[in-house]
Amino acid sequence: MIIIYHCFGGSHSSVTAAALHLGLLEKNRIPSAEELMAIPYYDKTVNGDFGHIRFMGVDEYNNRIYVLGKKALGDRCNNILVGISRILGASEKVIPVNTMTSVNWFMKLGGFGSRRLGIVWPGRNMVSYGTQKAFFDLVNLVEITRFKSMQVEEKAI
Amino acid sequence: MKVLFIAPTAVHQALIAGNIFMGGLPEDNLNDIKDFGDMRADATGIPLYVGKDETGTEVYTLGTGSEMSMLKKTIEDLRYILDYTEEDLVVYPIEIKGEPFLSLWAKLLAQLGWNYESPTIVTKILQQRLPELRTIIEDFKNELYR
Repeated sequence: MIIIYHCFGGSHSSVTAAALHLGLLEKNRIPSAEELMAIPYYDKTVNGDFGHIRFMGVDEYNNRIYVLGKKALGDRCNNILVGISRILGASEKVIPVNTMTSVNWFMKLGGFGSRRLGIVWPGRNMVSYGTQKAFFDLVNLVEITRFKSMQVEEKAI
Repeated sequence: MKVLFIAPTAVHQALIAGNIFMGGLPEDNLNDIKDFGDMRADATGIPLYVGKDETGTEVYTLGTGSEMSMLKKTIEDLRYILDYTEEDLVVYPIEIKGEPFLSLWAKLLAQLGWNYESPTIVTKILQQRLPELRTIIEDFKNELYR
């Protein structure tokens, strides 16, 4: 199974969700700013990364976890990913997850400042703070996704 | 094999391209093309099935908004991740002159409720672009089946 977490820049909420999914972050404790910065891709993406589906790792059920920066495509991105998979005859293999539902204004403003304007300070501090505020929403989203992936897997069997 | 034509909307130049590719474009009236200008068919982001050409190649269109090059990368990455190649799915962007005006106008009118058919001005401009589109698609098809 392929799970693609996507958000505007593919740099903060999607990457944090993917890290949670892969167990790179503990789900019962809010991570420090340093722990967030240690996640691969966290607040490190550049303009050329938009649209690229980047590999984050493999979970314990052998699901491959990816992240994607989809700009302002919103939920349309889910339909596009599922639609393309369906054309290829692989729709049951892909679970796209929109993490924008967990994004708050601190993340939006901080992410815009850090990634788009290049104002790393204070953008990075703001986006880390926002990620910490959104952390348990992301935990919830990831748990739902893990459950969904198990259901899809069961159906396939 | 499958061919996916991408453009800012799935139901204007991409759909014309798909019909040219299949050899079934109505000469006089673009409005005779099934789903032409119907922005409701473009709303969800699910690729639109156009039909099959004489060799059995399935033709689809997809509306990408202003993110055509970004989405091309995404679709090609997904194809690679799913272990498919260009032999299975070809993504072909349709770029024509005057594009920003066409999609802006079509989308603006769709927002205002005129989403069921192509605005006359858009249809007329696309009609003028038909020779250009025919050349682009015929070259592409020759290259594909070479």
